[in-house]
Amino acid sequence: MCSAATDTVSARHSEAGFSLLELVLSTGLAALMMTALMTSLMQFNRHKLVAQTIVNQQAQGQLASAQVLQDWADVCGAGVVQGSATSISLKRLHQAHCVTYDYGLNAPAHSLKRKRAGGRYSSFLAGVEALDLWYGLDTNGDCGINLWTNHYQTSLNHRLHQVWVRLTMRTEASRQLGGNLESGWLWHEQDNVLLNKVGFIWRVAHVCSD
Amino acid sequence: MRIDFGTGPAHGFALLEVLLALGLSSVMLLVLYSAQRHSQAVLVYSQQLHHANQLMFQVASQVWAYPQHYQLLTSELNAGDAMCLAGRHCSPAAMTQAWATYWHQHPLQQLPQADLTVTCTDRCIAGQRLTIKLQWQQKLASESPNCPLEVACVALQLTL
Repeated sequence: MCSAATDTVSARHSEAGFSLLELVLSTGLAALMMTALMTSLMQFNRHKLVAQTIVNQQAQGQLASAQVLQDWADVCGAGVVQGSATSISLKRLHQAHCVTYDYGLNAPAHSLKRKRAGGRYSSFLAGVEALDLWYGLDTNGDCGINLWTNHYQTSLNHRLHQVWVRLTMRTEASRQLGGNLESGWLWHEQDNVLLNKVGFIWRVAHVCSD
Repeated sequence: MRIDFGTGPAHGFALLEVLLALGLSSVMLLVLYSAQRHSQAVLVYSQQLHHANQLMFQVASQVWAYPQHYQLLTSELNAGDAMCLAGRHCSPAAMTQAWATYWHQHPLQQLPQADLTVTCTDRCIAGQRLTIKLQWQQKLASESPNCPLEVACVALQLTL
């Protein structure tokens, strides 16, 4: 047994077996192919993560705009009563009554909150980092917007035509993306989320149709 | 030093076998790389369509707001006053120019060689149809009656 083992791996010169050069070459080649394969797989994995994140961002943005626009669709009475950059009060139909609703940013909970007059705030839209509202006003009665401001108070001197809603949404994403982001992406270091800006305009209907 | 695997004749791969194996491996990696590149291109196209739809929505809002000055909404001059969208009183013409500048500096930057047009079928008066069209270079876009090959087009028709 001992003699057979020493025969298998021996230092003697023979024509059989692989030479050192062959071994080094084949190992190098294998390493090269493995590196290429691993790089390709890692790129594919990153691409998959990016694709998932982009789809999430798009869906989140569409959902946010649809939810806000649908909620503000049935305004009544004076419509928007007052507003600031991070909150807005408007009158909406509720069980055939025109009721005041307050909307605002709940920064600690990262959400938009909503409250009916006399009620308590509840979460309305999740995953919101920041809210920035701008109000398009007609201040000279020509039925055209001539002022965009982030403070609004209902008045006889001006009419509100549009509200430009600018949201910064938080999208959950893999930490593997943290150090290597796509252009235009913003990574929240503390919470490990991606920040994504969504902007849409709410057109207050029938303002100048009369 | 040699590692002996037996006492029989020397066996190994012929040069042709090695070259074939290398060639096949390279083809396999190339196919994998091409598939990945195509998948990335599809993703970029999807993202561009998303940006385009968001932009169209904003343009439509401003066409409604300034039906008399719609042509300025597509002006490529970067002469618009950014403060018109941030608290300054402006005329309708200045406001539309500010929007045009904003779009050219932000959303349109996401689309290569983008071209935004707003046209009316006859005259831009109440009852007439207005078309907002946005097109940009995109290799994956197929040819359609109103859009050439490798150009992506998004259009929106409004009745004033």
